[in-house]
Amino acid sequence: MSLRGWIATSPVFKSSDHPMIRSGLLLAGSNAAWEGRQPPEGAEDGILTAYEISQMNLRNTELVVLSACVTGLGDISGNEGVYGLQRAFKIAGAKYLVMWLWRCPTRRPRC
Amino acid sequence: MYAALLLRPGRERPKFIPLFEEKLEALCSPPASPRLPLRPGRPCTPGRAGPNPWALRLGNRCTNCSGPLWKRHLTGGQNRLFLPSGLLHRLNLDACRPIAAQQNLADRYRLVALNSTRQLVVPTESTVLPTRQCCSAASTTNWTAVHAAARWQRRRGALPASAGHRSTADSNSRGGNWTVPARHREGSVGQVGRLIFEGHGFSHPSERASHRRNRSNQSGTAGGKPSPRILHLATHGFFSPTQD
Repeated sequence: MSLRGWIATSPVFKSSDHPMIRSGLLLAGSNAAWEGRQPPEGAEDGILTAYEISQMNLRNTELVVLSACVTGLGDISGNEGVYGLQRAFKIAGAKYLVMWLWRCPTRRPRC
Repeated sequence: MYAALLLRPGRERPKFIPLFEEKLEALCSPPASPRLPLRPGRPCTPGRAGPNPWALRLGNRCTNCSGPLWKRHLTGGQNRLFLPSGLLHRLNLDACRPIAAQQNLADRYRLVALNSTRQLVVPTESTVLPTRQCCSAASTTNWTAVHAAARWQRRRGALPASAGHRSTADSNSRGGNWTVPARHREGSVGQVGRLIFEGHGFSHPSERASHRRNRSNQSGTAGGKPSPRILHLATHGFFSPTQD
């Protein structure tokens, strides 16, 4: 799957059949790919999908804290549990996860 | 249908062993609690349709389903490496007692649960596989991976029969157990990938750009640099639900 194929019409991470591609993390510089535009030449798209995370080696990682929106969500498939970021980090070898099920407000709440 | 795929040393293909049908659990469960998890030794009462032939065959014990597997096929040796999938990850095999046996399985065998076939080939620091036999119990079978991994390991040298570690996997986690050691280096995973894909009509994934990038992701943490102990990411997450 090439990067160009990703963003031809609708970004694959919004329309893919694979839930591990439809969930992930947005990093710096991800605006272009997220909005369906071509990222700058030679630059990464800034989008780290759950599928990509599952291919990493995090077996020495004991704790992963994801301070980001909806990182605990995913597709539920039968008895197999949730297909999303938590599965990806588990496959990669991380032992414990702290995730977030809801959307986080961008603005800091007033106390 | 739940089945086990048994891969033994010297064999090219795993043996398919039917265990039980998912219906059996419903037939065996009391009506008031139809979604009770599988529990070893839970008595199996006949359903409204009368005695279940599967239950009769399995000795009227729901979770004696593994009896045929343990009794007939897993003879010899002590160590058992298994990969539970689906509902089977809720089944505590340690406490399971096969038909007409006087001991639980944990009394007789050393059981090591893996969470992925990947653990057969991804190494840790102290490196021996603790088993001779590999049993993958799965509802959706991924036998090519098991097959290829074992074939590759046999090419590299026989799996040692002893000198293993007890798995520290807890039953609630399906991915946290990386303490089971394997003997090969991370870079060799690509060779296993080729073995898996060759001969099955697929091109090797390393030819694809996304996999090249994945390999670079792997090398970032595997090339002598262990992954961090604590990983804290403060960013934006996304999950796009299906159009349905």
